[in-house]
Amino acid sequence: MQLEQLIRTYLCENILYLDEDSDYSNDTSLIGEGLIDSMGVMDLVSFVRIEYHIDVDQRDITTDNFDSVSKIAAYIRRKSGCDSLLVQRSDSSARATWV
Amino acid sequence: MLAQLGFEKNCALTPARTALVFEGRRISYEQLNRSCNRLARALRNAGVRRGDRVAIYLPNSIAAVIGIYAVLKAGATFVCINRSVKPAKLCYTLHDCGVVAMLTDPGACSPSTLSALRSAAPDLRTIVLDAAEEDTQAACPGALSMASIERTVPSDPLEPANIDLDLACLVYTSGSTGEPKGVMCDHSNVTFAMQSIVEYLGNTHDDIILCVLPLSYSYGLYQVLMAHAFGGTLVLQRSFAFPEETLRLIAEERVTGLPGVPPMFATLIKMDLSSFDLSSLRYATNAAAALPTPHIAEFRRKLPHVLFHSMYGLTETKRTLHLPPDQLDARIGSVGIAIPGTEVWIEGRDGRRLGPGETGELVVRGRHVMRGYWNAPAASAERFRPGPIPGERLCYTGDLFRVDADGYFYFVSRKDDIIKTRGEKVSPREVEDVLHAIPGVSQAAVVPMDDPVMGQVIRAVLVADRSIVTARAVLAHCHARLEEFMVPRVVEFRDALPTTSSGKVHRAAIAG
Repeated sequence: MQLEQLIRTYLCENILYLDEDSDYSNDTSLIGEGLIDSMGVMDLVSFVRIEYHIDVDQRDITTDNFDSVSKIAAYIRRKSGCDSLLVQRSDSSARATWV
Repeated sequence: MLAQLGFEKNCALTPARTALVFEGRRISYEQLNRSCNRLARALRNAGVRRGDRVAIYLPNSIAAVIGIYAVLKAGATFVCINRSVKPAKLCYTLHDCGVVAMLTDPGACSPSTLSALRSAAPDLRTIVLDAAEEDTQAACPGALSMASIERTVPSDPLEPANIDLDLACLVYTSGSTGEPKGVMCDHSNVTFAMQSIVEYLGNTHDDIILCVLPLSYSYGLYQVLMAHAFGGTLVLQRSFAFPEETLRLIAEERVTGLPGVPPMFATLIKMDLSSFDLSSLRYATNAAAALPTPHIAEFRRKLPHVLFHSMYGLTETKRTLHLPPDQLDARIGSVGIAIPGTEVWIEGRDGRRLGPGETGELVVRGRHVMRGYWNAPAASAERFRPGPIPGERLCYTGDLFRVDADGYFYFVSRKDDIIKTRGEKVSPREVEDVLHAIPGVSQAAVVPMDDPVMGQVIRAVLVADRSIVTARAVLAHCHARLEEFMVPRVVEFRDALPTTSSGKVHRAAIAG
């Protein structure tokens, strides 16, 4: 699955709680469009840390890296040194949930 | 005095001064005023009249600021609605206050939302989008485009239509009854509250205020109004989602005033602040919920040059108490004294004024006591009661306080079940109503759970048919209907819920 789609699936299932993927684009500003708030950003940062084993520096948590699906994908590619469109999640098991 | 007059006075005095900074754009007082005049004229041309309600459903943005002043200049009453509010609550709010116009963006204009809005708010005749003409017509045919208004509508000033007893805004707030209520703020209330706050913060036109708080929230809204009333600069950010960017902005813009809520300060004190030049910061303010004393101490340790103001208020009076920074060490845990020009005291159940050491309900007297709740006479009568002079209103806050021998007030607890999370008020009833609508849920209770950053988070305890109700389905249902901060962080299933002797769900027993 394309990285962007994996991020969308995560957003859909764990942050937006939608039954099916919504019609926002990969370039939609997640904060600007009110899709997520600061809690959602924290959740996305955890997702990147856990799923892709990326040590997200505090200074990297910015609009440029986390405010759209495309930006998150670009960040993951840059930090993981992987140019491929296909980036596998580090772990296919379901993310531990807090409920 | 009208709420926009301070801004207009500064537009005349210092037209070239920067009024607003947003995402790299700098807007002078004169530019901002012209844009506001244009939109005000467009609203009037579209039929908006004195006293009409106009919704502003936008994220923090230049358009939102323009919208606030434009509605005031048009003589109408603005209603800022958090852009993260979901369609059902948006419909409720628009219906409740009978809006005639709404300022929003194309992202809010899906055909299903527009159709729901039009049936919920039949008087909604005018929609203005913060977008270019083409995008506006594509998203909502017939709507007005802010970009077109900016290009085509004259920018000369409008004659004021109001007196200061007219409503400047409605600010929706959660109450224990479940549905949000619109606090009616007249121009004199707003102007008085602004002057009082500016006085104790000692603001001057050299101040540069950073606002990351939503403008739908009176704490955020007043940052705009006050900054422009004292002739300063407002640096607006969409949110505090990216703390590093906020700190960078403080350094770059030489920000002097930082209004915040407890989760912001809890985040800031955990960060390494040494790589940012925060020497320009003169003061920080905390409101919405008490900041734990150790957090205040850590903030002051990291930024010893910054005056820290602990404050307490509620939308019904805007601000009520403030603790002068020089009292922080002597009055640990206090949220201070009445704001300038106002009076507060505590009352027992029997209406007797209480003295030091006793605990009772905080009562507020002053011109900042708002006009009541829109369209809710019973709730208004409960909260706003007659004062000692005929025609006067007092605000019974619903919060229990005690006072020390020197007249400093200490918050004890709330009288109702309202939960404070992430600086926002959440009515358990509002969340429970949403939970009860899930097929298979027979009982629902919403209680707070302590959280080190958020203060409290929402815990939902349900009795439900587990063959059809899952935790994920509950969260999905809530997400579609509630703002983020209202969505439970924990969902728990039980076989039964404890009840009180009158048969009501016993929230306190569940909260443990």
